[in-house]
Amino acid sequence: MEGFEVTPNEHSGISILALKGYLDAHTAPALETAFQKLIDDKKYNIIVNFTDLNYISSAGLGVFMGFIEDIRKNSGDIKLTNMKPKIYRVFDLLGFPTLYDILDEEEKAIEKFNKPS
Amino acid sequence: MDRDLKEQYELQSLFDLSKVLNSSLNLKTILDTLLLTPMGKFLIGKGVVFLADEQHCFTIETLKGLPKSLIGKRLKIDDFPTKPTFVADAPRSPWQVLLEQNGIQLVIPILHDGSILGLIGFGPKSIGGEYTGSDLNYLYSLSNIAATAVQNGIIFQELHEANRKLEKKIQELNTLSEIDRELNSTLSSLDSKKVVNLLAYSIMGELMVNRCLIWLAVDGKMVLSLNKGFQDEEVDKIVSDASIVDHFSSIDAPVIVSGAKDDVYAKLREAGIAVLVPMRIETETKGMVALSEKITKLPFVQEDIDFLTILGNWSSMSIETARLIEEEVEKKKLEEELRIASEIQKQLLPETCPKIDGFEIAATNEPSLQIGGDYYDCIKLNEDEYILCIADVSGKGAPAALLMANVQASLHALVGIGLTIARVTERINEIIYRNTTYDKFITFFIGLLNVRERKLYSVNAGHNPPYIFHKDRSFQTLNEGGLIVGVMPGVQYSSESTELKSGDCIVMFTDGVSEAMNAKDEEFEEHRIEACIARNYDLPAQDLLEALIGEVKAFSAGCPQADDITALIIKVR
Repeated sequence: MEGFEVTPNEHSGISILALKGYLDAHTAPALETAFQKLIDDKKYNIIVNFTDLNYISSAGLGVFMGFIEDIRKNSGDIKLTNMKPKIYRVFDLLGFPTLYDILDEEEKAIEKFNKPS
Repeated sequence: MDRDLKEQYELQSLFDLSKVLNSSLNLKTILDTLLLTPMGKFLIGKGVVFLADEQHCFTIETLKGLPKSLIGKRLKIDDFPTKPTFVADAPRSPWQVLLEQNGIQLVIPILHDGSILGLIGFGPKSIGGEYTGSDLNYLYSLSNIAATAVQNGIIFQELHEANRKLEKKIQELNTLSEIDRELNSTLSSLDSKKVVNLLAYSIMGELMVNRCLIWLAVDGKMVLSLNKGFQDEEVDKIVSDASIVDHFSSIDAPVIVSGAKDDVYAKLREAGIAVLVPMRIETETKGMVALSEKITKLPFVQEDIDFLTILGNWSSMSIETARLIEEEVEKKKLEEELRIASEIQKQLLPETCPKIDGFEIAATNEPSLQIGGDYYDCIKLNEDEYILCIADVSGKGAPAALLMANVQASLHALVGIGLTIARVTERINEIIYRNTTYDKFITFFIGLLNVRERKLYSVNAGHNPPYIFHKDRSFQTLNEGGLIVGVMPGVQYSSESTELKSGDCIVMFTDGVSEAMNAKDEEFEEHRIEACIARNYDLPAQDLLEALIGEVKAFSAGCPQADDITALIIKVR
């Protein structure tokens, strides 16, 4: 089975999590840990870059649900970027675009964080 | 001429419009075009489109120049107009009032093959005065031209929705199969915590819920095993309320808490719980999933409930399997641990006792199933001196066996270096104290038998006092010594010496003998040991030992042996 990796990074005060591989029930705890660490460090402006993510299951989406409220309460946000069409399809199917900022490019998300409308 | 030109222009624009409309299958685009074209042509500031269903329920699909909040508004209209109609001329009815209030002047039906698809409404023209007859003709033609496109758009949208529903179902199936796969692939290392976590995330992702509680039945009681997102205080209120948790086991189908009447549900509602989903195996509720409302505030629909039901039941089966496997693994581990412990114990005990001129020695250890940590030893120091020892280590199983191994190693190392037995006991106390936690201790008796002097020097560190029986059946016990070994540093031990006469019989034992239980929960006790020895006093040491052990076993017949049975008998010839 394909593995899963989360690589944390930072860009002008914004935390970026780059996801790679296969995000399912089995690998979801790794993402959970990464989010928890950001929250513990009080880093609430988060971009998740999906460029190298090849699969996501409902359990993977569940992780995003688990943190969003906490992050927004602290006036932060999770913005999702660079999804492959089939990944976006899952997010769309389950109604995530109404709740999450989903953008084509990481740079656009950075811009949005820096210049909130 | 001017008129002809204008008509020609209008025809052209209708034709263009028809091309635009029929090139799109997107209903929203079609309806917007249908609104915007005349609004541009006549400079109309307000427009609205209703679409009708077969029951003549009309829903506002799109609008221009009116509050967005009207979108989605539904009205039952049975007396809908079948030709262009001025709102002011229509009979008074809810739709007529609604349109009039919103400044809609003109209504054009959208008819396709004689059935009503919808209505288009327009506000007043900004210039050019009232709508003329030719305006109405133009708008009606437009509506007729658009009807086919609208019909196609509606069908396409239905198809699209059906497709989406199907895809959603597939996604749900994927989730179920993933959970199943995950559960099966990790069975060897599966713990119920993991399953519960997986269940929570799958639900949260699938239904856009951000708070979730899961209870699992443990020994018939519901125990909270996961909380994602709920405040601890809220959860405490629920968990500490027995009336709620006790009620769970009687829930056999998902409950939408907001619609339920019971008091129990009022409390759950207060805590922010919107849905309860029981996790069931056959007819038993093995767990409970509680969810907050969806983050989108949309209601839970039947499809959601179906999905949750399947997921809940599926997971509870897996958790049950996991629990059985855990139990099996635990049992295997325990068995293995005990096998090792038993192995250690066997190796630590002397295979045979040394032969001593003028003395008979017999010893036995009958380990219990759990390995009680009994120890005895008989070590020849030189021609004249022998160490006799009996001890009982606290605890059972491998930890007890390992501690016993420590005692044995220390004893063997210390007795050979010329220390008195009191010093040996003190050293062992230090070693055990330093190497174990305070709850580990040892009752320990050590005797130094001097064959030439015919004397027994002894130290008793909290062990059941050994006996010295005399020929006349009188006896004394060996109590001198000090505190049990291993609980306090720096303990000093004293020793006593007892002269041995011909016919004396030393009897050492562990509490596995004196505390052996019978079916009536009575203990064997010292008085039965004393009576047994007295009755069989003339037997050789080995036979006497067998008589004693035989009696203990007969006494506790039918009861499981709870502790090791160990005894050591030395007869003075």
